[in-house]
Amino acid sequence: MDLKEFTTDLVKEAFGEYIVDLRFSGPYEDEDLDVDVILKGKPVDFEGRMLNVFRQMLDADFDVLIDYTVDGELEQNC
Amino acid sequence: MIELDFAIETLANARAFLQLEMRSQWIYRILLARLYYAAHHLGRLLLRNVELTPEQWHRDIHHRVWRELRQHDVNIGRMDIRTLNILERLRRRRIRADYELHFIIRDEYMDEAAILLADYLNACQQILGVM
Repeated sequence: MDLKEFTTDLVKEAFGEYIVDLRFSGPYEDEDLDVDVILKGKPVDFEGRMLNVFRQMLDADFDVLIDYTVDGELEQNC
Repeated sequence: MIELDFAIETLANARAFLQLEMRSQWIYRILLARLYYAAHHLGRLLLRNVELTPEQWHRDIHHRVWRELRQHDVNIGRMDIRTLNILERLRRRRIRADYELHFIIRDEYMDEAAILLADYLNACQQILGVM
């Protein structure tokens, strides 16, 4: 299974049109993958959607670290 | 419970730095690491309370703490999954702080991390019966 694809599918299913970008990095240590989900805003049911993704990742026993930020809260110095 | 004291002290110090406007990237990176490890050690304390021995684990420790918290705390209703998710989000922020030096961490990102630890600590204190 391609982990990036699996993660992308999960996050897209949960957040769909709210996603600005999905950034993969790592792994840096013993995690499987690092993911930053950049959202254009937080939907009202943000927490439920986030936990749904988290739950499915736990069920699959993947050590994928996902964090969510609203566009503009996280800057990348290029 | 040294882990609980450590978490309380960590949160207090983090808040002090932020309230005093000590907001350099260097300080943010230190605080994000300390916030995560305070949460991690609290998780280990909860697991020792159900007779597990995380100090004897040698591999995949961070993920194992998650997995075991889910089995021993979340699945029996002692901890809600939102609290467990906080541990993940703090770990991600800690790894970013340590490895992604090209990212500039904004104030809101740092402030939210402190709030996440506060929520996590509150939940753990309730589980431990110290609130």
